[in-house]
Order: sequence, then C-alpha cells, then structure tokens
Amino acid sequence: MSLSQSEASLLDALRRLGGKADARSVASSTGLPESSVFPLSSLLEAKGYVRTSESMRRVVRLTGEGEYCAEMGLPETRLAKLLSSRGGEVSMDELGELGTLKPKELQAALGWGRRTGTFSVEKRGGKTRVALKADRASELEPVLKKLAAGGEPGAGEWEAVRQLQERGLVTVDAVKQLVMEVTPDGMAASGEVALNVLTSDLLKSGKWREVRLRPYDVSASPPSLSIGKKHPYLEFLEEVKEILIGMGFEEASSPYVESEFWNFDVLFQAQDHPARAVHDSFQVRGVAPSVDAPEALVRRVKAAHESGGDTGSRGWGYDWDIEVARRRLLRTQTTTSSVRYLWAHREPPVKAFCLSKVFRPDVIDSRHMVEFSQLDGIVGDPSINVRHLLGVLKEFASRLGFSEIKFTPGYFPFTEPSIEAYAKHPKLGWIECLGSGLFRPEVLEPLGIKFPVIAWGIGIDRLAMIRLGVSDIRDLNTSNLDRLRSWGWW
Amino acid sequence: MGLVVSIPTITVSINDLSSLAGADLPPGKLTEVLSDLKCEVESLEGDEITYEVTSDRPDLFSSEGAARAIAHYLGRPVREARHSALPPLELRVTPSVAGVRPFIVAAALRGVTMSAEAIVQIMQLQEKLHNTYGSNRKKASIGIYDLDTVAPGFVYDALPPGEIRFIPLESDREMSGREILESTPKGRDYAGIIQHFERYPLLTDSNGRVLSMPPIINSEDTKVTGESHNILVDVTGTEEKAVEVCLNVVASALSVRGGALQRVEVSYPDRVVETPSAERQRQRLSQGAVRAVSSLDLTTGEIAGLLRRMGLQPEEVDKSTLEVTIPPYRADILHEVDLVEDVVMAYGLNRIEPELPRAVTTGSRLPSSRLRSRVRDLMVGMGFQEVSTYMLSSREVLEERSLMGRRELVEIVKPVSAEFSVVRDALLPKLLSFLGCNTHFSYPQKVFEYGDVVEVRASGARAEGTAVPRTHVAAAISDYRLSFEEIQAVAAALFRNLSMEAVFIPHPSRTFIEGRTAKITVCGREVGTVGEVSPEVLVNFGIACPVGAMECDLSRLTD
Repeated sequence: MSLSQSEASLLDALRRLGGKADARSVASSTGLPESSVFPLSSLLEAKGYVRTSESMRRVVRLTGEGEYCAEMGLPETRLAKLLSSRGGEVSMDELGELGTLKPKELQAALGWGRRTGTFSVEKRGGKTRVALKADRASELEPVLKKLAAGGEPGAGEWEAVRQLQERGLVTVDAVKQLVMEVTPDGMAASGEVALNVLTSDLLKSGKWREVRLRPYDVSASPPSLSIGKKHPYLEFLEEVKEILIGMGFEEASSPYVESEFWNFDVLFQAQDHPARAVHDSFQVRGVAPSVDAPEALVRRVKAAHESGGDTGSRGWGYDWDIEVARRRLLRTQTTTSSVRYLWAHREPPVKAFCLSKVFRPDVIDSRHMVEFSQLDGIVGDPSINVRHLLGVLKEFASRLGFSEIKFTPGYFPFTEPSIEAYAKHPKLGWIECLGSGLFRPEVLEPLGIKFPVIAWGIGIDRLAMIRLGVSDIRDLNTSNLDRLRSWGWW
Repeated sequence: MGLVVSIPTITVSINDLSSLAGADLPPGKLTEVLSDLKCEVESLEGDEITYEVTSDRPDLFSSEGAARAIAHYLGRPVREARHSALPPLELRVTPSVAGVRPFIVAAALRGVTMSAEAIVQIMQLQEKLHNTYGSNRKKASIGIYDLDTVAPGFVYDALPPGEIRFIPLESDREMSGREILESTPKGRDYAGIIQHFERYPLLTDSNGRVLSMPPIINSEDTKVTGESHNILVDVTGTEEKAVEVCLNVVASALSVRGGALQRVEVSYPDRVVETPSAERQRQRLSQGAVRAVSSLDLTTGEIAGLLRRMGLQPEEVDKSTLEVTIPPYRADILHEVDLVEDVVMAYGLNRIEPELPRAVTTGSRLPSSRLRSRVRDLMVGMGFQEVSTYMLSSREVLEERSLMGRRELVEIVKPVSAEFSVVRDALLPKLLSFLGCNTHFSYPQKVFEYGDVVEVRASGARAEGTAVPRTHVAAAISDYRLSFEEIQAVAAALFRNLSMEAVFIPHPSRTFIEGRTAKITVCGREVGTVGEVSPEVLVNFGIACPVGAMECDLSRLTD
C-alpha cells in the first residue's frame, strides 16, 4: 500500500522513537506541524500501520510571579545574596526598608531557610535579626530556570514542580494527547512512497526511477480560466471576408461620412425618393457639404436623372439639384463603396466587396439597430449576365453553409433585373438572404463602365445572429463582460 | 443591397381577387404567382391575403391591378379597358394655384361596379400611392368623388382659408378652411403641406359646390359609396410626373371594375392638357439585349409571348426587334433593361441554370488588415478580452463624462436618441462606459477594442470641417489595486512586438491622474496616451475600481 511522503515520514519517526510516541514528539522529530499529525495518524491507522490512543500529559506553565522569580531569582536566593553582602546578618527592620523582598516572599524564603537550616531568625538587643547559617542554594532554582527556558520537568523533578506550584510560581494542567504505536504490520511495512510532485532534482539525480507519483482525481473539475479572446461577432465577420477572398474578391472601403451624391445619386436614386427624406437617412452637420466627385461625372449623373442622358433611358424626369447631392450623411449602404470602386477601376474584370458599417434611422428593438454591418459585392466583365449572378449567389450561400437556395424577382432603384435570394435554414425554413441585380445603365454609363456589372449584398447581422445563436441584434455588440467571457463558439 | 425602399403591404380579399381575375386561385398557387410577380405573401387567413409589393409596381397596390396582372400571367382573357363615347369633362385652373399646388389631372370612370370591398380597395390604393409616389401627399394627392353628386365644369382654384367653407368628410357641420386643418384628423396630419400659404387649394364644381380641399380632405357630400356608378378622380400636386402616375394607376384600377374611361380637359392659364394622356409609351426591345442580360436564347416570338404574360403589348418590328406598348399603369419602364426583367420574370428565374463567372481574379484584403490582425493577436496574447462597441455615441460620453472636452464631432441632425447622436472620435470613453456596465463581475477586468473613429478636422477658413476616418486601438485594465506601470507595460509590449520602441513622455490630461499620464511616441511621432484614469472620470462612469488605460491612433503609423 503506498504512502504519501508525510505518512512515510511519520511512520519512520515512530519507529525511531521506539515504536510509540506522542504527537508532540513526532511533530518535532519530523518537522511536520503538530496539527497535521492527527489526520496523518488517522490515515495510517486506516491502513493498519498504527494504533492510536489518548493519554494525559501534564503541562507546566510559569505564572507571572514565577517568571519574575526565574529572572530575578527565587526569594531565598535573593535573601542569601543580600545577607552575604551585609556580613551575613540583617535586621528585619532593615529588610523591610530595603524592600528587596515583598512580605510574602520573605515569608516563603524564611520558611524554606528554617527547613533547610540555611537561615536563622534571632531576637537580639531588642531587634529581630536574620542570619545566614549555611551556604546552600535552593534546589528549586535550577528547575524553575529550566521551566522558564521552555524545558519540561525531568523524571525526578516533579517534587520540585509540586513545591513551585504550592508557592504559586507555576501552574500544572492536565492535557489530553495523541499517542501512536506502530503495529507489527507497520513495522514490516516497506511502503513505497508516492510523491506529490516530480521535481527538477529528481530528474537530474536520476532518483525519479525509484519513486512513484501519486495518482490524482483527474475527473474533478479544474479552476476556470479567464483568458484573452477575440470577439465572436468580429470573428464571424472575418470568416465571411475570408470566404469572399477565397472567391477572388478584392476588399474595398469607402468613407463612413459620405455625400448624397455617391450614396444615392450615382445609384440613380431620385432626389425626391422617400429613402432620401430626413427621417430615412442620417444627415449630419459639422462636415462641409461636397459632392466629392469631378464635374464631368456630376454632369453625366445629372443628365441621367433628368432625361436619361446617354444611357438610353427616359430618366426620372425631374430637375436634379446639386445642393441636395452635396449634403452629407452617414452612408446607408455599402453599395456606395461598390460604385466608388467602379469609378476607380474601369477596366474589367472587376471583383470587389465591402463589409462594413452602415447607418439608418429606425426604431431600435431586438431586430433593428441604427448601426449595423452590411456586405456588398460586385462582379463586372463583358460576358457577365443573370446566370452568373445566380451562380455567385448560390456559391456564396453554399460557402455560408446553405445548400438550398431559391430566387424571386425583386426591386432596387439601381439594378434591373433585380433578384432576391432565399436560403433554406434547417430550423427557420426559407430566410431572405441576399438582394442583388445587374446595375442599371443609368448607373454604369455615367461612371464610364462599358461592361455589365452584377451587384449583390446582404445585411450580414441577421446571419451573424443565426450563426452565433443570438436572438437580439444588440447582443452582437453586447456590453455584458460576463457574456463575452463565457461565450464559446466555433 | 438590402436598401430599404418603402415596402407597401397590401391586403385583398381572395374572393374579390379571384372574381376580378376570372380564375380560381387556391392559396398555394396564389402565393406562387404573386411571388413570381415580386409580391411576397406575408399572411393568408381565410379570405384575406396580405402581401408585400415593391414600390416600382404601384399597379399592384390594390386587388384590381393584382387581379389583372395575375390574369395576364396565367394567360386568362383580360378585358380591354373601355372608353366612354362621351366628350371630355371640363376643368379650369386659375392662376392662383401656381404658387401653391400647381398641377392637376383628372379622369372619370363610368359604369363602375362599386361594392364594399371595392371601396376598401380604392381607399387602400389611394393611401399606398400617397405614401410612395405622393411623398405623403406632398407631391401628389388623390381625390375620388361620386360624379353624379357634382355638376361638371370644375374649377381648381386657391382661396384664402377664410373664404373656404364646406362639410368635410365624416363631419356633420360646415367648417372653414383653417378649422378643417385644426380640428379634423386628416387636417392635423397634413396641415404642414399648405398651412403656410396665404391661399389653400380648392376643387369645386360648376355650382360652386366643394369637391375637396387638396391635399387635405374631400367633402362629405361628394363621397363615393357602394351605390356610386360614375366616379370622378382628381390628382393634384407639386410634381407633374408623380401626379400622372397616380391618376393612371387609379383610373386603370377603376376600369378593371368595369368603368369606361372619360377624359378631362384641363385648362391652365397658358395651356390645355387632356388627362389622362392618350399617348402611349413605347419601348424597343432587341433579342440581343435579352440574350446579353439574361443569357436566354429566345426568338422574338417567344419573347413576345412572355411579355404578354406580363401585361405588355409587343409588336414585331423586324426579326430581332420588338416594339412594346406600355400600359398607362406601368410607371417602371425607363429603359430596355426594364423589359428584359419582365421577360426573365415570365420565363422563371429558377429555370435559369446558375453558372460561376469565368474571369480569373485574385482576392485580397485591405492593406490595413495586416496591422489589425497583428494588434488584435498581441492584445489577446496579453490576456485582454476584445470588445465591440458602436461607432455612434453621445457628447455626454465622449466629452462630459470623459472630461475630454467639447470639440468638433460628426453630428446627426435628427438622431433617434441622444445615445446615438454623434460619431465617436475616440474609443476610450466607450471602453469606460463598457466597464461601468460590468462592476458586478469579477476583477481584474482587461478589455480592448480595435476600431474606426471619425475625426472632424478644420479645413481652413470654412465653418465646417472635413471628416477624417482613423483607426484606433484602446485598452483598459481595471482591478482593486492597480499601478501605472501595468498599463504602460502593455503599451510598451504592444509596440515592441510590432518592432517599434515606445517612448513615454509626461503629459497632462484631465482624463488621467496628474503625474500618472504620458503620451506615447513611436519613431518621433505621437501616437497615443497612457495613464491611470482620474477618479472623477471613474465616478462619472460608475466605475468603483481603479483603471489604467491607453489609446493609440494607429493610422499615425502609416500617415
């Protein structure tokens, strides 16, 4: 049966102390704290190596008076010294005046002196005198000093202790103590010691070959670690970006604070369209109004809106106002990023995406937030048509984990044909997934794009919520630290 | 994409719809057909079906147009719109409307079969058109009257409000123009459109009887009921095109109900216009365009068949070109591609085989993403939990609580709440807000955010500045006991691991404790601040444990 290091240590000590010892002795012999001896002895007893019992032990402690005497000397010792220094004799009156001994102490000293014949008390010439008769030290003195130094009374010293106790210099208490006795099994036990820790010393010395390591309860739960972590929502967005990179798309970006020109006008959205009203987009102040585009482009966009310009369209047929186009707002869609990209990349093939924040006024609730993430992607090439749009949507949905997808016609002011795609979710059924279409000629022609471009996009937060198992859109940007700490996902 | 165009929801009775379409429409079939026509069914309960329709098809805003579209789509016979043999009605426009509400168009429909459901539908149509093409009645508003209650020879005028008196719809007494604006529900809702004018628009008949005070309200006496047979429609507004679209759609809907169209001659001071216009829009469509956009190889005959199913009227011009006559209720055909969409819709999107584009391209990330990746990894490696806060914030958080002071920020003109009214130009106040929400969770708390902010920089003498986007990283440690060194060590380690050396220079800041804040410079450039957050700021955010924090503008590294 294996023993822990401490158990082995205790057993060894008992054997060394003659097979039987009390807790105190064992503690001092092993260096173990006395408080751990009891539980260790129980363990050894359970293994049958040790038998425990109780015995009474006398504990001697000095009283305050006893400590004084230990330091200054017993009264008789002090009296003998005094008498010696006075020529062997002193009157009682003088003793009283000197105050070396208190009255009680004097009594005790004289009492001892008479018994031992060391002092005599005589009346001479009207005065009581104390005389030193013999040079004899008190046999209590060494015992008291021993006790004061923390020692324990030896076998023959208990009479002295009794006397000291009578004189109120020590107290004697009876205390229970644990006594352990090695059993025959314990004597024979060669118990392999199992160690708690493997140490560098054991490894270096080679002693590791001789020892066993104690088994742990490995099924018990470990402490919970608080670690550094990335945000699950942001990691999900990274995942989506990786899918797009893998499909050959180049990441693009555009300003958060945009001009209405790029956000709406270039996208052929009429200036009196309801989505441009002050309550459907966040117009901002503090930033200088500007179309942020060259005059030639502005002219062509204006023409497209008013009469169709060179696009082959009728146009919207209203008076286009540059002041409206110069207004600043927080971008409402990442399609804005797509058209800015086209303006900067007019040669095919073109394949770009933007996944970033957009802003729209809305009632804030579990499904709507005024700030959310949107993805927009474009593919442009001379041979691009509706078939490729369906192909890209299908591929993207499949990489997101949706194998079934269906299409219905839709409407966006800047695309024609426009297509909505729905993906089949195992639990939620058909979910509206992607909006898309071919950019209208009124969008492409002013930008100088001479090839078809498909555009597609998605409010990615809805998918994020499904993927991350979140039912409130605000939880994607949770301010609950505990939630973030315990949020596991993959 | 995912652009929110106002999405009207339309409710119709399936019985009414079926009878108008002349077809039996079981729910499954109906849902499918509507979906093919861009209408997404939201609910179907008993006789009632509700669908979302895209705003480019106002003709589908009521059951009449929907029924007609369904009938065409299913190849059912569709009765041609009837025309009345009667001469046009007359409507005179006075000069005073020019400055108030300049345009008016009108039409009469004779022999309409009205019913309770028809009234519901026509009111729904009015409302949806008002909300979309009418821009909440401002651009266009529609009035519908029982023609038999009025004497033709109409006058469209604008009068001082005091001179206007009539019984408005759903009232029992006469009111003045101003009273109507103040005491009727419609008056209060739409007063804003005309109340600032000295004259309000008014439509009257030849006897001076008031038909309506556009755009506010009709009169009670002239209203349409289930017994009306002859209907007069007028549309007034500030935009000619919007007004025409509305009239065309409403007139077409009433013609589905059996009405024969009678035109109205509108005499402006300077011109005379017959409304609705008899002119038909025509748009050419080439076989090549169909093939190029849809990839479908169809003959002109096949294309023509598909267009007819969408209610359009194609005619062959030559072997590869069609000229298509557009019905008056279709407002969405601006370009050849609009017809291609109809061809594709009728053909069936789900019949087209998807194919991936052939062009070879390589994907790539924005250059800034490399630094982002490194920094996030390093912060996580130092045991920080990443936090994601909104870019929108408030001056209270960014300026007051943080003691960072008043400054130029991108500010939303009409925010939905004060909490989201400005764009953040710093991350630290948001992190402190975050910590303030989590004082009951265990410490130490180590959080960071890497994200975009927008600064407003003065541009010369202009009153308003330029919005400059920047990328920041901010980190905070909060614990029962905390020292400056702890957060300083984080900043030092971050830059060291980006192979740069951070130099710390004492620097005062109200946000941090005096003598315990430094600016961080790297390669001689100031990139950020680090320090122990001031107790006053901590109290402002409701944080009861000390916080060491840093914020760096990483855009400075690549400036």
